[in-house]
Amino acid sequence: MKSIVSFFKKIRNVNNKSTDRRNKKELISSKLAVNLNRIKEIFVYPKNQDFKIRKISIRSINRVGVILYLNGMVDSKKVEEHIIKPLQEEPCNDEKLTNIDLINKVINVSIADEIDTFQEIKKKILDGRTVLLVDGSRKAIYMDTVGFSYRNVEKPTAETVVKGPKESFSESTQVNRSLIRKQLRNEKLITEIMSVGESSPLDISMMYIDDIASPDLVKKIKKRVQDIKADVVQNIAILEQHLEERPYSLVPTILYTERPDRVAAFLQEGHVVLVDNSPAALVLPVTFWSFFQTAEDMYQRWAYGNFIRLIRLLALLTTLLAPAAYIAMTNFHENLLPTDLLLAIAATRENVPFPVIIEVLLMEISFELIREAGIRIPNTIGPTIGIVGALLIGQAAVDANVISPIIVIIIALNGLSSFAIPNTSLNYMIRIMKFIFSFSAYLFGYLGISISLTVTLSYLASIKSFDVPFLSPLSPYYPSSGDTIIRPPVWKQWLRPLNIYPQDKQRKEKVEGDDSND
Amino acid sequence: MKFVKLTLVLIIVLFISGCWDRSELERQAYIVAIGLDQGRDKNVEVTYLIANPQGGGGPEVGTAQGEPPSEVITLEVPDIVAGLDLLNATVPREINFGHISTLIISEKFARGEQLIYNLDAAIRERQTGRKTFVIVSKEKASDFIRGNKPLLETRANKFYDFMRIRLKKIGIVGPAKLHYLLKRTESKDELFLAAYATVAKKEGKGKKQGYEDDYLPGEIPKKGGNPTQIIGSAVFKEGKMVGRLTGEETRLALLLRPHYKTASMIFTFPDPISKGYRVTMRLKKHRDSELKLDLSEDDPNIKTTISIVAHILAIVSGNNYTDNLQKQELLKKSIEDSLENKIKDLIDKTQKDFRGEPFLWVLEARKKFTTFSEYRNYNWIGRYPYAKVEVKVEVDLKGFGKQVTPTGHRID
Amino acid sequence: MIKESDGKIGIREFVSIIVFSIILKVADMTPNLLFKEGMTATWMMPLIMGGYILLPLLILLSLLNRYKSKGLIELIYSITGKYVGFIISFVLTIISLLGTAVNLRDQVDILNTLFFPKTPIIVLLIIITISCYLIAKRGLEALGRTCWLLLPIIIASFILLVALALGEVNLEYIYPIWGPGLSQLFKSSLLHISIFGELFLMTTFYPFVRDDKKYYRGTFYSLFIIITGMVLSFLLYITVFDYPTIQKIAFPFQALSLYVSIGYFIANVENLFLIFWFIGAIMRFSIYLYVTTAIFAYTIKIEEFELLILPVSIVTIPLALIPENSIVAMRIFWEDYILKFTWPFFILLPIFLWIVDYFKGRVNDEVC
Repeated sequence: MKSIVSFFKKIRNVNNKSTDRRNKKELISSKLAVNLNRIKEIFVYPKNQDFKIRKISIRSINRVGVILYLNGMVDSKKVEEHIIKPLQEEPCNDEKLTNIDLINKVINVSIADEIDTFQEIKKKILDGRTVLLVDGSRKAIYMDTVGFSYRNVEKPTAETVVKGPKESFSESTQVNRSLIRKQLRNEKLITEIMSVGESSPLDISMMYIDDIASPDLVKKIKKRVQDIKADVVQNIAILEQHLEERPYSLVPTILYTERPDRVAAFLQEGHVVLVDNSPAALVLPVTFWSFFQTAEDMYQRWAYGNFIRLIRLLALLTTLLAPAAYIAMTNFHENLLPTDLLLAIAATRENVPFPVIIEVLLMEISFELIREAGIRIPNTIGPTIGIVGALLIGQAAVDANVISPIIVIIIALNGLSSFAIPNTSLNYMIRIMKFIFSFSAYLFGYLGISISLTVTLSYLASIKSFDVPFLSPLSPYYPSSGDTIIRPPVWKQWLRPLNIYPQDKQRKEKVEGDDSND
Repeated sequence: MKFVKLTLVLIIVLFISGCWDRSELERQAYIVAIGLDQGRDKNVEVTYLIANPQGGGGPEVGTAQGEPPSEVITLEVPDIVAGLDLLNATVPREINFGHISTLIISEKFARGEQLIYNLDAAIRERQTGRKTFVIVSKEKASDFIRGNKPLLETRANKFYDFMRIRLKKIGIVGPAKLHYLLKRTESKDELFLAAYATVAKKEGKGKKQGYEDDYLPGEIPKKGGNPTQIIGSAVFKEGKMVGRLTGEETRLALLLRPHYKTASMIFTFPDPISKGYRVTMRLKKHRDSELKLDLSEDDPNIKTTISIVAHILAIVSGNNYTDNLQKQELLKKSIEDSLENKIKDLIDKTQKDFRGEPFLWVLEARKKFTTFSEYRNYNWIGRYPYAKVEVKVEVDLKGFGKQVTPTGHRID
Repeated sequence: MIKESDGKIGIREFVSIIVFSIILKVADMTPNLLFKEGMTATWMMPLIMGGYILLPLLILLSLLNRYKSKGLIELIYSITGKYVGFIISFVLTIISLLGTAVNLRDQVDILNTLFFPKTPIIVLLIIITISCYLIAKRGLEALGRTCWLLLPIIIASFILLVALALGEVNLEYIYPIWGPGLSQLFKSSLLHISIFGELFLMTTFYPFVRDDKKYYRGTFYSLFIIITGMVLSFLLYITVFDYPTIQKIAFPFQALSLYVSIGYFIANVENLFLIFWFIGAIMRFSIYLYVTTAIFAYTIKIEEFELLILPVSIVTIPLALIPENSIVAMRIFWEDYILKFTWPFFILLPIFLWIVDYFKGRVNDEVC
C-alpha cells in the first residue's frame, strides 16, 4: 500500500517539474544572435519549413532586426506592406528612437506591443502574430497579422429558424466575437482571453456583461478554465467536456450553440459565454429551459411562439413516452384500451412472431441506424434512400408479417417528434432515455413508466449547472421573466431571471397599465 | 467486484419479475359478452362470447379471411369466474374479462334468488366494469347470444355497443348499467330497469296492436333483419326480477324520473278529431320535472309535473292541427290527457304489482330526513304502495316541421 | 452573489410537499374507512377535522416561532429535557414508521388487486421502496422542487376527473344531509384525525424553510388545498356511487376513474389518471421515508441523516408485509391500532408542550 502511494507521489512530482520549467520566465537578451539561436531551438528551425526568419534593416533607427513568423498563420500581405515596408523605408529622423517609437511612428499594424520573454514570443508566433527582434534591445515587438483561412459566415446547420437572423459562428475567434458585438452594443460587454492547453495552448475568449453577470460566477468559471490540465483543447466541443461538472450524466449542463443572436440574449440575462475558433459558443450556466427553447420562439409573435413551444413540448413527451406507453398498454393494461382499438391491434399482431418489446426495440434501433446513416449519405442519393428505406422496406416488413403496422406508425411518429427537439444534447438525452423508459415499461407497465418519470424528474430537479438549479426558475421558484414553458409577450419580460443571480435585476422599467398599446 | 455481481443479480431478478403480469396482446381471448342461465343444482350456465380480432373485417394485412367474427362457448360452472380456467380447455388463449360490455341474463335466472350473488363475482374480479349493459332475455341466454345475428355489424361487440347508445337516446330501454343494478339492490328502496330482449322465433304479425312502442320483445310485427328485438324493461327489486314493462311504459317511467332528460322520443297519440287515426309527435323533456313530496302522514303524498316539448311530425288524418290555433289547443289537451292516463296506469302497476317505484322519487324523499337512520326507519319502499300520486303533464307544441298546413287540406 | 445551496426550501416547495403527503390519501382505502362511519355526510368530515387540528397546530407553530431554528424534535427535547423528550420523539418515530409501512402496504395492495394480480406483493414492495429511496436520497430540496413541479399536474388531472364525472353526478345522493347524525360525525372525525398527522410531523423541517415568517401562511395554504381536495373528492364519490354502495367499493378513486371514461371519445383518459396517481403515490412515499428518517435521526441526535434513509427503507419492507391482506392492514392495523391510539397524541402534544414551556418560562423568570 505504501509503495503505491509513493509511486503516485512521484508521478505527480514529475508533472510539476515539467510545468515549472515551462512557467519559468526566460528573458530576451540584448544580443540578437543569442535570441535567434534560442528561437531556432524552440521552433526546430531549419527543420520546420513553415517557420520564417526574415532579416531586415530598420532604417529609422539604423539597426538590424529580424522578423519572425509562422507561415500559414499570417497574412503575408500585411507583413510585407505594413511591417517590412515601413521598417525598411521610413527615413531616419532621430538616432535615439526606442522600440516604442518604432511602434508609434513606423509600424502600420493596428495591434502592436512589446514583450520580453521567450514564452510570450513563442505564443505570439504560434497565434499568427509577427515578432520583431531588434539588435540591442531587450524587448521584442509583436504585431497582429493573423491571417489563417476560415470559412465564411454561413447559415446555422443545426439551429435553423424561419424568422430571425441566419448567421452562425465560424472558425475564427475574431469573426465570432464580432458577430456577438454586432448584436450587443454594450460598453460593459467584456472579453477576457485565457489560454488553455499545456503543450499547444489556444486562446479562449470569455465574454460577459460586467454590470449584469454575477462576479462570483465569472470568477468560478475562470478558475475552472484555468484549472484544465490538458495537452490541447482543440475546439469548443472538447472544452465543453472539460468544463462540465458531471461528465457521466445523461443531462447536459453547458449549452453549445451556433447562433450569435442566442448568445447575445443569454449575455443580456447575465450568463457567461466562451468563444474560440470553433463554429459555436458555450453558454453557462444553463437551465433545462435553455435547451428546450429556440430563438424562433422569441422572434415569432406571442401566440405563435407559444404555439410552437406547446407543440415542442408535446413532441418531447411523445418521443420519450410513445414506445413505452405502447408497450405498457399492450402488455399490461389491455383493459384500458377501447375495445375496438384493442381488437384492431390484436388482429394485426396475430401473425407477428415477436413480442411487443422486441418489435419496439428492433424498430427503434433501425431508426437510430437510419438516422446516423442519414447524416453521412451523399446528397445525391439521400432522398432516394429515404423513400426506399421508409416506404418499401417498412411496407415489405409489414406485408411479410415481421412487424405490425401499428409499430411502424408509432416509430414514425416518434422519429418525427424527435426531430422537433432543437438542441443536439437534449436530443440525445431524450433518445437514450426513451430506451430506459421502454425498458421500465416492459418490466412494470405504467408503474414502471411512472417510477422512471418521477425518479428522472427528481434527478433533474436536484442537479445544478454552476450552482444554478437545473429546472429553475420554475422550480425552485425564482422571480423571473416568466419565460419557461410558455412565455409572456416580449415587452412584459422586464425581470431578469434571478436564478443566475444577476446584479442588475431589471431589464427596463416595469410595465404599468394594461396590455394594449393605446 | 461483489457490488457489480449484486447489481447483475438484481437486474436479472428485475427481468423475471415483470413476467407475472405481462402478457402479449394477441395471446389473449377477449370476452365481450356473458350470458347467465340457471344450471343444475346451484351452478350457472355461463355463455362466453369471445371476439375474434381477425374475423369479419380486420385490415387487409395479416388478416385471415373467412374466420367467424366471434366464438360462443357455454359452460356449466359454479360461477362466472370459476369458468375462466375451464374455458382454457378449448380456447388456446388467456382469457381476458376486461372488455365485457354486455351481460345477458335469462328471465328464469333473473327471477331466481341466485342472480345477485353471481354478480358479486363479476364485480369482485377486477376486470369487470360497472358500466356493463344488462339485458334480460326471455329465452335462455345461450340461445339469445347464439341467435343474435347482426347483419351490418361485423365485430362481436359492436352490435351491443351501438344498441346501447341508441336505445338510451330514444328511451325504449333505460340506461341499464350493472352499477345501478347493484346499487339499487343494496339500497333497497329503488327498482332497477334492465333491458328486455328476445330473439324472435317467428316473424310477421304480432297479435298485439302496440302502435309504436307499446310492445314487449317478440311482439313487434316486423319482417326481415336481425331476429333480435330489444325493447321494454325487466323490473328488478332487491336483485330479483319482479315484472316487466313494455317499451312505452319504460319511456313513461323514464319521463317520470325527475332528472332524466331525453334527446327525443317519437310517440303517437290518438287523433282527437278523426277516430282511428293517430298523430305522430316528437317529444323532448328538457327541464327537470317538479316533484313535491309530503311525508307528514302515514301514506306519502306525491305530486309531480312533467313539462314536455313536442313537435308534430306527421298528421295522417289530414286534420289541420298546425295552422288552426283552436285545433292546436285541442291536440295539446288530448296529448296531455292521454299521457296522464297512461302514466296513471303505470303507477298503479308499480304500486300493485311491483310494490316499488323505478322513478327515483326516493331521492327526493331523502332530502326530508336529517340522518340516515331516520330515513331507513321511514321505510319508503314499504309505504310507497299506499301513496297517493298525482301526475300532471304539460305539453308545449313547439314546432311542426317544414310544412305548415297538411297537404291535401283545403285552406280554411 | 451565488448563494451556495443552503439546503433550505422555499415556501412553495414546502406547501407542495405537505399537500402531496396528505391529499393522496383520497386515492387509497382511507375513504373507505371514513364512509363506513360518515355515510352520506363524509364530505363534511375533512372540514370538521380541520377545525379540530387548527388549535393544536397554531399552538405548535407559535412555540416553533419562539424557538426559532428548531424543528419539532429539537423543540421537544429543549422543552421537556432529555428523557421525556426521547420518549416522546421515539413514539413519534414509531408512529411515522408504522404509518409509512401500513400505507405503503395499502397502496401496494391496490396495485396488486387492480393492475398486477399475479405479481407477488414483496416484489412490488421492493420496487416501490427502491424507487422512493432513490428519490428521497436526493434530499429535501429535490423533493420540494419535484413536488412543486408535479403539483399543478395533479391538480389539473383532478379537475379533469371532476369535469368528466359531472355527467354521472347525482347531487341528491348526499341526502340525508347529516348522514349518521352530527354527534357521530364529530366523534368519527376526532378519531380519524391522524389522517392529518403529517402536518405535525412536517414541522420537523421548520428550520429548513427559508422564510419562517411565511411558514404560517404556508401551513394555511396547504391546509386549505388539502381540505378542499378532500371535500371535493368525497363529494364526488358520494354523488356518483351513493351510499351504501360506496362502502362496498374498496378503492373508490380507481373505480371512479374507470367509470367515467365514456365510450369512444374519452376512452384513454383513465390511463392518464392512472399514471398521475402512480406518480403521486411514489412521491408520497418518498416524502414519508424522508420524514421518518428525519424524525428518527433527530431523535437520536444525528444531524446528517442521508445515509439513514436506506436502512429505514429496508426496515419498512418487512413491516409492510406483516398484515396479511388489505383488510387486515387498513381496518385492523391502521384503524384499530394506530389511528385510535394516535389521535390524542396529535391534539394533546402541542398543548402539553406549551404548558410545560409556559411553566418553565415562569420558573426561569422567577429565578432571574
